[in-house]
Amino acid sequence: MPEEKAFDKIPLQSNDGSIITVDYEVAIRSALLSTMLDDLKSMGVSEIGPVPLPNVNEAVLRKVLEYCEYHRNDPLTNNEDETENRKKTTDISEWDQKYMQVDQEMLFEIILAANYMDIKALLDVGCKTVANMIKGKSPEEIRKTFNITNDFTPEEEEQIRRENEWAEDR
Amino acid sequence: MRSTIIRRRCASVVRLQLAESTQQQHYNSTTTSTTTAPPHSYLTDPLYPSSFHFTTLAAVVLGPTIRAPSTAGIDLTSDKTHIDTALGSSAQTAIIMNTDTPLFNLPNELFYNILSRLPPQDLALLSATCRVLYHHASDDRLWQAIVQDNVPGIDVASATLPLPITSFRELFLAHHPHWFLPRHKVWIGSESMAGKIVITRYDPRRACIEGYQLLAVKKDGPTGSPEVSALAEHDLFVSESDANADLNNQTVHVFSFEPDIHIHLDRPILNLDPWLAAPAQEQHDDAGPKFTFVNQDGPRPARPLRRTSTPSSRRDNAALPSAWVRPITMESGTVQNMNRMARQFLYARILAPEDERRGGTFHLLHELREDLPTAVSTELALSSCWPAPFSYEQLGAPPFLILPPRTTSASRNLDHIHLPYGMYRVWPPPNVPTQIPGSSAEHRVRCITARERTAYLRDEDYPRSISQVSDRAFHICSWMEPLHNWAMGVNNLPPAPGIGVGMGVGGNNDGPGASIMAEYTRMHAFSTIDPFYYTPTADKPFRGIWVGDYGGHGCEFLLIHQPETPHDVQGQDTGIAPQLETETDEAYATRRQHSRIYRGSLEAIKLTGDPNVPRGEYSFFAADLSAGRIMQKGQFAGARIVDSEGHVAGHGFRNDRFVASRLIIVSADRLAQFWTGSGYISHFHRVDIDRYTRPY
Repeated sequence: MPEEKAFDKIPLQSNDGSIITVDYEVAIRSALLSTMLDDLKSMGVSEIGPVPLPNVNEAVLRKVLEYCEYHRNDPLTNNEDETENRKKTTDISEWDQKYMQVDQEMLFEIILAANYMDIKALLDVGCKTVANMIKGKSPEEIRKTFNITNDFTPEEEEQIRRENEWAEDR
Repeated sequence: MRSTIIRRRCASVVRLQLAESTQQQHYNSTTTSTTTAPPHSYLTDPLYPSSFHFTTLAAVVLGPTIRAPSTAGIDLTSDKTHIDTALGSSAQTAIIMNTDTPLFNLPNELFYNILSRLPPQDLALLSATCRVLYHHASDDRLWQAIVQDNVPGIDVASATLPLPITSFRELFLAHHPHWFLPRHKVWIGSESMAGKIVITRYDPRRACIEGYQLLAVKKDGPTGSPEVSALAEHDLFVSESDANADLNNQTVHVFSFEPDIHIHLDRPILNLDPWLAAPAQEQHDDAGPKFTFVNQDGPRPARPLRRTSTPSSRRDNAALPSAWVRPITMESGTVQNMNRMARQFLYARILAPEDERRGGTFHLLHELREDLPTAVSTELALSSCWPAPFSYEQLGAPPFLILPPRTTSASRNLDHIHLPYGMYRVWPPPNVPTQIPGSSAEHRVRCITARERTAYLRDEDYPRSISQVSDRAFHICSWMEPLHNWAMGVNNLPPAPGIGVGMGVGGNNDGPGASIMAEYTRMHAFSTIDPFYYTPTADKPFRGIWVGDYGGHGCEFLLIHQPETPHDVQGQDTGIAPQLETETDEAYATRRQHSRIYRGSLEAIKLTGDPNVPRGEYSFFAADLSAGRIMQKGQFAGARIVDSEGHVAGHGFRNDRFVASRLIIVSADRLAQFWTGSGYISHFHRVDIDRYTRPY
């Protein structure tokens, strides 16, 4: 990470045309933007126009930036920490849990945007949230939660049930 | 059949990709790992053809209908011939499937990210929901990571899986639910007063879980020759008044100690190979590919411990509904006098708080005395009861007798040790800490004491479901069976449970496998120790598993336990005087460091024992490490010395008592204990158990 800021304010453009301007500290939560801004700086660019984010619409971008704004002072996580915390799906901070209380469409949009913009911490929280929605549920409960249609044939279902008998006994 | 599946499968993907096509192209351009799942996992997938992934499939399906434009960014390089042939004209029929499932908008890599956070049970249940999730949950990278989590220090990818195991999912299931054995690495066994310490490990070359006894022998023979010197040459007293005591004319015997520690490979305690170990699942002839191994694949069948055929048997398998509670018979090559030692592995049930109430007698000794016949209570008070000097029948059954902390010395303070279960009918013994850090719940299981006239646990001491299966303890039942029976393949079983060994009833009397030698049947409990208790920290550097010199008794293993003190919880520097004006920063830093290290108590708990002081008892105990000083002369000059109390007892743990002694802290890896009464100084060395957990 560079010592000094590359830019003060970064205008971001969603795929539906809105421009949201954020502080540098907020923007660099996204590794995609952070790398891009570093590159621009090293190329001697001093002024930037709106940065297009063609995969993210305004509603999702605002939601994502809300996260980045709240976590602007957190230390940037590195890869080693992530593997360490993989299995602990329950430890989501209170604010993050509240933040993730959105409908499923938005939840998966946030995850996709976090993946695209490379915001590790947000992607982590999003994936944890989904994992927690799966945990401890029966197949039928999982189907209900995610609106999944059972597309197995009865024979396949019987075979899969037998394969997984061991997991039903808790 | 297969083509139908693929058709329907493809159809739902078509729908997905159509809905997502605009968005997906961006992801494809930024996320290169979308389709990098190893082909390995798909090869074992019974529902899908090999070399299949979403993007390719979508491209292929899209091709004939909307002429998937190359600008869509979809990878067309992979082979499509497999799928082309499988596709029929009715691809549209299943398009309605799962249309409103935002979950399926996620690319493969994000599915992997989410699913890698799930425990195996949830993965299995998830795979039973629909085809897409079945496919994702079968990603063998997930199962490899799950196996890897259970085998610390071993790289599961370092050896190819031994056939016929073709995936980590199969491997996981073959050893489920006893992956906790390699995960917890070190176990202490209840066998006799000496006990055992066992190292468990996973051998990736054979996909076996093994357990071997850890042994230590002194290189210079059982006793060695001590260095004898006058007490005056040493500096072994903490206070002036001690030094003036009449011990002053004593001589000091310092024993050298070079232990040779190794694992006893010749006689494994545990050997679970995936063929024997798999829980016996029902065979279904019509089923497709199997993920689990049933035991007829093994060289010898696993056999249930409990006999169902004997009419006189009071219990039958109906009492044990789950496959997880069935015992596993292990291979054993040990042959003595035409008899073979047979062994079974059994899951243990965690004792719950209500087990205390079940037994009835749960009082501390001073309360208990009132209820007992005078003769018993007197004897109980006089001796510390190992083996118990009374029969359990006198106390009423089943007694979970709690003995109080022994307070033979005023300075000893064991108030913090809570004894929720009967001392000798639980494993591990109460002195061995079992709480997982952050929890106050004890984790103990039933064990058979030397005084109990049976080699069997009662039915209620076995787990009924996987939630009751202890992942920190297990039982091993061993018995002798005549070699000729074994050679002829007769299915010998140990004597029926509940038939007391000492009652002269033992024996299997139905058919050719009759002459089991019941008197040799033994049931031993094993339990692990949480790494928290044996992992040294900056402030608790003596925590660990140690080996000590016990003279004629040989080497014994100990847990050096340093309980957390209130200071540790409140903050590191509580109770330390501020930096003095005359003190340099360096000196202050050292003082602070020492005050953190030398505080609280140090308790040496025997993991293996001897006929005098058995396993599970204290060997020595330093109540306050801060009350020490640096030794000025003699062999240990420069080391810190503190008051300690040494635990001594007569044969059979009779008249055990704590005697004044000194603990010499040489380093974080070396301790020495001066037994003032005998004038012996014996050494203790740290043991690095991780050295023994790797098979090669």
